[in-house]
Amino acid sequence: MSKRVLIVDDAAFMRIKLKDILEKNGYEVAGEAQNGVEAVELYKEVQPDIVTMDITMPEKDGVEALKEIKAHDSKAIVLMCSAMGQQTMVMDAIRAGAMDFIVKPFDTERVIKALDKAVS
Amino acid sequence: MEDNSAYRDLFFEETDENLAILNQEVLQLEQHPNDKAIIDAIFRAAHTLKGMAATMGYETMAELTHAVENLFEMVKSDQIKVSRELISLFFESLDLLTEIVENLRVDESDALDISDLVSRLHQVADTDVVLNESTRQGEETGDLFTYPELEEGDKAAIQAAMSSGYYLYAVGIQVEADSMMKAARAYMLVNRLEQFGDILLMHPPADQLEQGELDGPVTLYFLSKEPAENLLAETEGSSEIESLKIRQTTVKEEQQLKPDEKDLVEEVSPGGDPDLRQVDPADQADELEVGKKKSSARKRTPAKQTIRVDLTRLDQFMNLVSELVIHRTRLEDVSEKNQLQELGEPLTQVGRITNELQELVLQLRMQPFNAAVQRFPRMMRDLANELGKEIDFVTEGEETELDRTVVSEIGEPLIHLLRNAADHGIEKPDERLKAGKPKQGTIKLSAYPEGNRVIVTLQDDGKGLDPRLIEQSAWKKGISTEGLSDEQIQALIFHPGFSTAEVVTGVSGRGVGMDAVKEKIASLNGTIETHSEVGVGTTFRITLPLTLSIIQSLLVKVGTETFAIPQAVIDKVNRFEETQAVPVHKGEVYQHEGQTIPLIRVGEKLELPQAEQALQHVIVVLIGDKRYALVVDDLVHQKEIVIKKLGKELNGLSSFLGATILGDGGICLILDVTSICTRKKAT
Repeated sequence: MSKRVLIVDDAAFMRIKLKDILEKNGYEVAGEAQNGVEAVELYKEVQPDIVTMDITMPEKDGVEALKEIKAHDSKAIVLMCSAMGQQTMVMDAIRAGAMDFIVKPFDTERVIKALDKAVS
Repeated sequence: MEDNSAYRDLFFEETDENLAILNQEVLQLEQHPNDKAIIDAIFRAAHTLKGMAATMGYETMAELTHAVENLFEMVKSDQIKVSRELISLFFESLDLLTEIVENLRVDESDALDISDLVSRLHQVADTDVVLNESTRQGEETGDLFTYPELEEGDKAAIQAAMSSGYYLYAVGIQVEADSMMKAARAYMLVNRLEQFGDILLMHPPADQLEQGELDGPVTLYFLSKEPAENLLAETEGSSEIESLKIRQTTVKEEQQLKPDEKDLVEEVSPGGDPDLRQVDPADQADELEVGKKKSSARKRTPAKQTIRVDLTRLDQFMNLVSELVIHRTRLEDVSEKNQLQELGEPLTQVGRITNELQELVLQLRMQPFNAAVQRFPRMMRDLANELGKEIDFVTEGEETELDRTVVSEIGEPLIHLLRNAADHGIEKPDERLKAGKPKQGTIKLSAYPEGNRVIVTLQDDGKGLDPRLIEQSAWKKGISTEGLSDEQIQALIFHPGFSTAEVVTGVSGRGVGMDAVKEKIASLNGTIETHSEVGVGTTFRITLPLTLSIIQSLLVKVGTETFAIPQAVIDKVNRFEETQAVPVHKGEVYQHEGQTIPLIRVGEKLELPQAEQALQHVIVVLIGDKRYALVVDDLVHQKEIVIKKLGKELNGLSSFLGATILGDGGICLILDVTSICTRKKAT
């Protein structure tokens, strides 16, 4: 069965791009959230196998959302999506239990590699 | 390059949004250079733009946005102060960005020369941050493993651990050369290893790594009870790791290896003090930025949940609802004529639902006036600078909602009016002082709802429209001004091909006249009037329909025809007696409650024969602040009608707004009351 992914990003453009990459590579998109608050709620609701989490978002950033998701489900697999120049936040995320991170702009191959590895 | 064409529309939509935010916020920043919320907003928008551009493969755009974002990171972390020059530089960047985006929109290429601007952006970054200078030396050339030296204390600890079942591992990590966050990649691996044991010694030290500094390999000694193959299995396939070496070893072995290491991938790198590392200004800023974020918790209003809908679908929906309304009305007619009691109740329900549907679809099409206005402050700022004038541009009622089509179409005429106001209206500061006015001119743009219409006014306190100048200009162009009042002469600016500016400047007078403005507004079923006083200023008053398609109307009979009059303009309806019409030298007036109102007999105006059994009524309409009394032969009833535009072939018929289909399937013309009342009699 294909793995279910929750996409979290505040830019619709990024969500759609990611969704496309995922669906073309046999993943199922279980939900899309546009900020950290939605992400945490949706996580509880759809219980995805994996989450791709943007870092800079309004309302609640990705690292905070990651912490809350981890508190709710310590086994949660969360992949951070970061842009260049956010290294320190990525470090925070790793400390908070992020499984891996991908750096924008997305390279399809890298995204899929990271996802495949994260769910294996 | 991957094919991103499918995202183009979305890309442009979001890019436009973000560019608008940037323009708006940078403008705000000029006023409030220390407002963190504004700086954050700018940073986020630039950041988003960069991400999208890079993903689409628009390298030039990505490079420019990256430079802007970098600079803003430094602003965020207080490394650079916001200055006028900086703001101007940002605006320049935004303009170039807009240009790039426009080019992309047309031909998919973003090849514009940005090197000059980017280098200036970098220059600002470099000169303002002294930090970089000294840290740029000592770059490490070697990318091979060099293990840290074990001290006596470490050795003792290792011996102790090993005797209680720990193994000693020498671990070397080399992150891929093109990895974008080397330190974080290595950190992740180290973090994972730590779950299985303890790190004894690491180079570079952990805190340095955590700060995002890494340009060579990471080497460490690690104590764990896990066998090597378990550790390898746990860390295998980590993203963007070029090589990972986990080698079980002993203190003795390490010492023997020391001067001449034998690890497959390694060699001692010559020279280079490992503590003097290159500091990437971006990362430096990033780090400070995180500190900031933690200290000042930002509050933001919750974002509205929205989805994007193709406008053509919305139009289609609108049209279908309109059709539904027409047929509901027909059904009601049939039911009434045939006294079908049974149909009554369900029809009421259908009526209620279609009403709600109608309202909903109207709301869906509504957009705040702000969408048209938000680019103006920036434009006015530039205009004022260009013209050497001081202008305070004020907007009011940006939240007023209008039909989306109106909002998107009204921008162009408004820009024209604003340019005119800045160029011809507002005087230069010294002239203003001489005239006893404040040095800074004011241009005010406001919008507010008035019944079924929205009024947009544009007011300046400039020199006003001089009727004498207009007159002269009119004569030169062969336009007769004989017998016209000053007000009517001022209205001549809307005459095709009219321009009062003595010198055509780059700002206004681009060949589009005020007549084009008027025409555009008329095409939106709107009207424009001007009131101007020499030396005091000019006000334009634009009246726009709230919606373009469904209106309440009063059906009237004129001769044998039925016409619809939009209810929005109706002030009063009374029975009409011939005695109430008082002839004056140019026509007739209607006297009502002490007021004298110009009287217009619609039948005469439209050249229709009077109905035989007329039950004449007078309909008092309000246009702007003027009343007109329309005499019609009879009232039919009040009705909600759907405006259907007349075809292009009938464009010349200025007396009608459009047509609608009545309950019985007949067609009824909708009177353009404004045109009927204000149009001069054909001479």
